[in-house]
Amino acid sequence: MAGLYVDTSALGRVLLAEPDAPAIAAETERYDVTWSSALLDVELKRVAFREGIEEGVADLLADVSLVDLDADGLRRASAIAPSTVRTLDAIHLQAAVELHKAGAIDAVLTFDHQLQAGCIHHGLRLAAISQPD
Amino acid sequence: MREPATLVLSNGEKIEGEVDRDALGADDIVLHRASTEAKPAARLAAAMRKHLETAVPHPAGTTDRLLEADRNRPY
Repeated sequence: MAGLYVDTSALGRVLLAEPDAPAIAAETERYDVTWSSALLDVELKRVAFREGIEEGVADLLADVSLVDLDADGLRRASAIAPSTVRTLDAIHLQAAVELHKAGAIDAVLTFDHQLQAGCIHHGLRLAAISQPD
Repeated sequence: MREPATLVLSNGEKIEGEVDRDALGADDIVLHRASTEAKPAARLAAAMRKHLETAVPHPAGTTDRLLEADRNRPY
């Protein structure tokens, strides 16, 4: 069963109907299941709140499996390499690494360059659409 | 080989998952939760397309700009 981790930079593009949103939907459909961190719930709802488009966000989040933000996970995120990954992205990276170890995901869909570098550092494959230039 | 398992916390909360039968003798027993909680990607893709039918289009880079602005918001 192929799993895909989606972060806020990816689902945000769909929420805001950016030009590459249909391609993100097509890429998502290539996998069996989708995962993210509960951080996605907070980040995406904050974006929707600021942009005044809250009505669409719940429907998108309802179909993503979210890893809880527990104390153990946050402790591991605080120390995850590389140090250049930003604080909130470290939470995404830690969740993706753990899901990969558990066999739950095969690739990460992110457009954040620092998170992409973190994924590569840990041997996580980037989804085709989010391969860096 | 994985098999279904339930972790029962002291407060009575139950966490469903799977454990590796061959790793049960290790110091740390890992509970894998993925296969019982994962949601179908096809459903998310369908939700994305439904959302896009009525969503107001934003220029490319809007999400990155909003996330970057949030992280750089002054104290």
